Amino acid sequence: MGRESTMEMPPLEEAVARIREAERASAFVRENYERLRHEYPNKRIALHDFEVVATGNDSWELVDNVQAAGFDLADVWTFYIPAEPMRLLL
Amino acid sequence: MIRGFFDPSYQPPLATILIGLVLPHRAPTYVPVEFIIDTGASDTCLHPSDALDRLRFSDPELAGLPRIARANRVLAGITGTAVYFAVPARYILAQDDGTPRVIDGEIQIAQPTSGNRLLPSVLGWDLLQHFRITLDRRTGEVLLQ
Repeated sequence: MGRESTMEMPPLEEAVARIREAERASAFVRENYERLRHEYPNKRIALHDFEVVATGNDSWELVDNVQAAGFDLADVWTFYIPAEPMRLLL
Repeated sequence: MIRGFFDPSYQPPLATILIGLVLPHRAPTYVPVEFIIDTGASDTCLHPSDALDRLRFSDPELAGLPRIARANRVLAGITGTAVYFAVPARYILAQDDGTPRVIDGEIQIAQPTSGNRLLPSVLGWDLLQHFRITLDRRTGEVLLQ
């Protein structure tokens, strides 16, 4: 997940607040992962205030759809929602 | 102390931590990126999904990395080999007490291949060596201290 655009470097304490904001969005996706993976399988989603405001099959389509929905890219958090949990051998 | 979480979009859920990443060669700006804690990785790596989706690298920008990278290396992984370019990086970690911990180092940025498009970025020993690591799936604790 992450904001769709880079941000001006704020004072480091503000950076912590931004990271906390990102953590809350990430926590929302984790807590709702079972529902989201059925509603948006293998899609990229954009969250604003814990609501899905746009989806896309790839990042470029998502960007187009975020803008079409009237949102600034800096105001959404994006995530990839795999239909099934991925197995990784790292 | 920095807290992470277990990400259920992997099976089994993988220990993950969110870090503010600054790439000074691009701009003095940061982007929160989720990194899988990979105790088997020597280096912290940024994979194409995060480079493209979150840091909004363009394809030409990725292709131009050899011009600014300190070094390039071919690293082997389960999806095969890929070329990684080492660039300076600043990592901002949010501690429990609300203060930031900043670590300056490098990050290996992968050139896209057919096998690494969906790989998460990984936090390797170059950063993990700074911490005592707690990973407890039973309690859900992911701690860097």
